[in-house]
Amino acid sequence: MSAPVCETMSEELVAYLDGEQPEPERGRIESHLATCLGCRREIERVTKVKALVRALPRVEPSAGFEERMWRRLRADTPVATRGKGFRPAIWGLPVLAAAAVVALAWYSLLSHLGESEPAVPAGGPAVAVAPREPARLGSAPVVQAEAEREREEALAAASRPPWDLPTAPEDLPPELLEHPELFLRYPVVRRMKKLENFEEVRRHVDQEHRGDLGSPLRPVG
Amino acid sequence: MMRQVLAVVVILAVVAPIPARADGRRRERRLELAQRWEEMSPIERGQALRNYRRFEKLPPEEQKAVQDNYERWRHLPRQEKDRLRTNYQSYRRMTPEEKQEFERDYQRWKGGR
Repeated sequence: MSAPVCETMSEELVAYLDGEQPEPERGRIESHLATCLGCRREIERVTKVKALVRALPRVEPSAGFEERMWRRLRADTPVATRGKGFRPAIWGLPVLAAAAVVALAWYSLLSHLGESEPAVPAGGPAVAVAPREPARLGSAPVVQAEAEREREEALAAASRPPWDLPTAPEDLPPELLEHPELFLRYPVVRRMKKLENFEEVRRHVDQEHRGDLGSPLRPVG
Repeated sequence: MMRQVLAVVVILAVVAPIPARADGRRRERRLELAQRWEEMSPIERGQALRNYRRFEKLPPEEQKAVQDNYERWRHLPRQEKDRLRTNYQSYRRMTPEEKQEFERDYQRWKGGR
C-alpha cells in the first residue's frame, strides 16, 4: 500500500534532494520526513529516478562524424535552394541539429539491428550518414550490451539498501530491533547534553570574549 | 507414596509448558519487532544500522549514557526536540576545527558551572 505524498511538500522534496534548500528549511523537511511515510517513499522514488537518468547511455557518434557531416552538408546543399526568405543564421542551426539527431537515430537503429551498412531510404534522412568504420561494426552490440549492463547495475544500486547486509530482521542485533528509533535519532541522542546547552555555551563564549560574563550558567540535563 | 507420585506428576504438568509459553511470547515479540523493522523505509533501516555499528563500538558506560539520553528524549516535548534538531544542524555544519573548539568550550563551561 502506498502512502500519499503531502501536497505542500512534493515540490520541496525535489529541491531538498538537489540541496537547494537553505538550512532551516532542510531541518523542517527532515523533521517532516521523520514522521511522514509518504514523503519518505517519495524521496526514495525520486532518488531512484535520478540514478536511472544518470545511468542512461550516451549516444556517441563515430570518430570524425561531425567533420564528415559538415563537409557533406557544405557539398550537398545547393546554393539555388536557398530561397529569398532563407535565413541561415536563424534557421540553419536548428535544422542542422534536427538533421544530426535524425542521422544519429538512424545510425543507432541500424547498429541495433546489426546491419552492416546504413542505407539511405528513398525519402532519405536530411543528412546522409557516412559509412561507418569497420572497427565499429563488431563493437556495436558490445556497446549496447555494456550500456544495458550499466543501466541494470544503476537500477540495482538504486534499489539496494544503502548499507551492508544483513537486512533480514532475524539477523539484526536485538538492541537495534528493540529500539530502532534510538538508532534513527542517534546523532542527536548521542550529543544530547551538548545540544541542550548549545546556545548557552555559545552565549557564554561570546560573553567571555566581550568580557562581560553575567549570572552563573546552569546547564540543562 | 502414591500421593507423592501424584504430586510430582501434577507439578510436572504445570511446569513443563512454561518454557514453551515463554518461547511463544518471545517469538511473538520478535515478530512484532520484525514487522516494525519491515515498515521502516530502506533509507531509515540503513541509517539505523549504520548508527548501531557506531553505538556498539562505544565503551559500555557511554552506551549506557546514550540509552539514558534516549529515555529522556522520548519524553521531551516536540518543541524541545525541534530545538535539539536545529542545534544539531548547526553543529553538523561546523568544520572539524570548530567542533573541537566547541568541545573545548563545552568542557570549560561544564567545569565552570
